[in-house]
Amino acid sequence: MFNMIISTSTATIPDKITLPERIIKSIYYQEYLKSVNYFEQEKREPEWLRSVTLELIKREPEWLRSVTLELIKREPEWLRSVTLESSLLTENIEEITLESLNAAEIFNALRLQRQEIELSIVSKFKNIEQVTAIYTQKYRYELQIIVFLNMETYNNGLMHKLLDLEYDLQKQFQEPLLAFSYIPKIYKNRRDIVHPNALLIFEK
Amino acid sequence: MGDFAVHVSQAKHNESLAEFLLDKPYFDWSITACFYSAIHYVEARLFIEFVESDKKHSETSIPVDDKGEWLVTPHRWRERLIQNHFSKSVWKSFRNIKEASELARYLSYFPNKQASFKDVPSFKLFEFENAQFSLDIDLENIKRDLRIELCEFLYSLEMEKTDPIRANLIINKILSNFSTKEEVLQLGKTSFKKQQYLNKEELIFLKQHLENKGLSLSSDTDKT
Repeated sequence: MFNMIISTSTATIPDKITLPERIIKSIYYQEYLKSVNYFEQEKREPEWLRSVTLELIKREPEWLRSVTLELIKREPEWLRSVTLESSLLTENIEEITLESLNAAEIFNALRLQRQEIELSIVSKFKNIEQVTAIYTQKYRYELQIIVFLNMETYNNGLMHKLLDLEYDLQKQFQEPLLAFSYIPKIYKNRRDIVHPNALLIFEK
Repeated sequence: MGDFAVHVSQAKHNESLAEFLLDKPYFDWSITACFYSAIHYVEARLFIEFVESDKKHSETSIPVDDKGEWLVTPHRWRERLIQNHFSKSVWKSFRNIKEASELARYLSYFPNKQASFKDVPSFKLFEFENAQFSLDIDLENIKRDLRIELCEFLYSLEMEKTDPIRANLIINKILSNFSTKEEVLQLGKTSFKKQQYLNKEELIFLKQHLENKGLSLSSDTDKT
């Protein structure tokens, strides 16, 4: 994954919808299929898949736009890489939809990988008394993890204990690169310290 | 970036500053000097690990995207190399010094310009014991586990001036099996052969360079 290509494609299709939105449509489409128990039913024809997708695109443009904006805000790097996957798309709407389904699968895989890492981090750190909160944020190919501590002055004993846990996680997850930071109690508001788009994954 | 000797020389210079500042007391700056010492000790050992490649310094091996831009930050990449090439103990001590020194310098990094901190300057986070821990526990741990003294001894034999490839092979074999100069000299050539640490040619090569410096393996000394 270290040779993952990052791109900022801004290509559009004739109906003026940008590529990231197409990807969101396919994610939404997958959710829709789950909701109608599509995967538990008999095998459907590809033509049926395409017609349902196109119908969704027609019906839900505003909703899709808002979700796209949220995704761009929260996961810009992943979204850009996924967008590149869709740059092979043609101007044909049906082909675009099918291609974006593939892209959505990649995106979902990355999202699931992050969730798995975050769950492991929380399960390791939650029992350490001095850990008050944990945030994560993406930077390039790093997943930055900010661990807030109830520590007024630097405590080497505590830090070595935390680093033991971090080491296990670093060994377990080679990709993306995990970048831990430990913040003592030096702030008035935690949110001042993390990136505005950082996710709170644990709090006491 | 420099070779092994240059890195060690810079590491020792920074370590001396850390010791000097500990007595003043500038505990925060002592920890920072410790960190810059640790970086050079690590880079010295990475130089030996990668001496035959074109990536003798950690920053020359950082993964890049298709535009040649770094995918990860240099400090984080160095930590990954330490994790992959050295012991957990080295990694943990290095990480601890780095965390402390970054807090001492930056209170970490804060993207929000309106950040509201307590009215406490960063140096107040650290006491004498913290700086002493960085210097006497963590940095010593790094030096010991990286076998810096043994590396220095082996480089002092100047084997690489005669045959750099063979010299590097011998140095890496010795570093994999011995911790100190004394262990190497005490074991003697008989043990070397018996344990198959070095082959016959390598042993002769090492012995010649020891003799050039007025040294010999213990079994050679015993005979005389």
